Amino acid sequence: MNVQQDGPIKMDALDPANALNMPEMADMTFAMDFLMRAKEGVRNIAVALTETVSPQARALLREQLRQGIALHQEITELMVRKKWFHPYELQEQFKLDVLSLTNTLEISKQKLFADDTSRKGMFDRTPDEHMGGSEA
Amino acid sequence: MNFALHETLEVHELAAFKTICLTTAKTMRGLVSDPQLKEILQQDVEMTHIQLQELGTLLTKAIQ
Repeated sequence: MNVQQDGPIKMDALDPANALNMPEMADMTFAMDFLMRAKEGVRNIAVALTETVSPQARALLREQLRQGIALHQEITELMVRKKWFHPYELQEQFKLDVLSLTNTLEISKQKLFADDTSRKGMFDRTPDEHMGGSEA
Repeated sequence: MNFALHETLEVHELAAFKTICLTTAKTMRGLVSDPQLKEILQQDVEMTHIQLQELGTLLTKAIQ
């Protein structure tokens, strides 16, 4: 694999100046991912619940739905408190979205990994050798 | 206990989703630096673990 770095380098992964605020920005991204998964979970369980009839399955799903909603609330409250999420100030949220969009675009332009990340040749044999895994 | 096929499939789908969530939460926990976010992620890992076990028990019963 050969990834070319396109255009002049505006942002260098090795420049410590670019690490400024990076832990918090990373946390913001992780929290957003977590929030979206919590939300998706609530929807998935709610859909499953409407397809279920057995009392045992319904009781279990209902409890998990309650836990999922509680988790979603907890993440939302943390994100609002940290000012990572502004549900009431649309202008603020918009600024934040543009910021993470720009940063993500910059990161995607970078060459993050070495040309060859394959681990082939590091071991003298493979675990699936006996069943002809290398032929697959 | 008798389960309808469609509900077994729904639970199966949920179990697959929860498996991904558990793996992601467990991995993300190591990458996050904010202590409060870390704490919620840890709670989620523990809760999802229990939920997956429950779904697994239900699925085993349904398959029998």
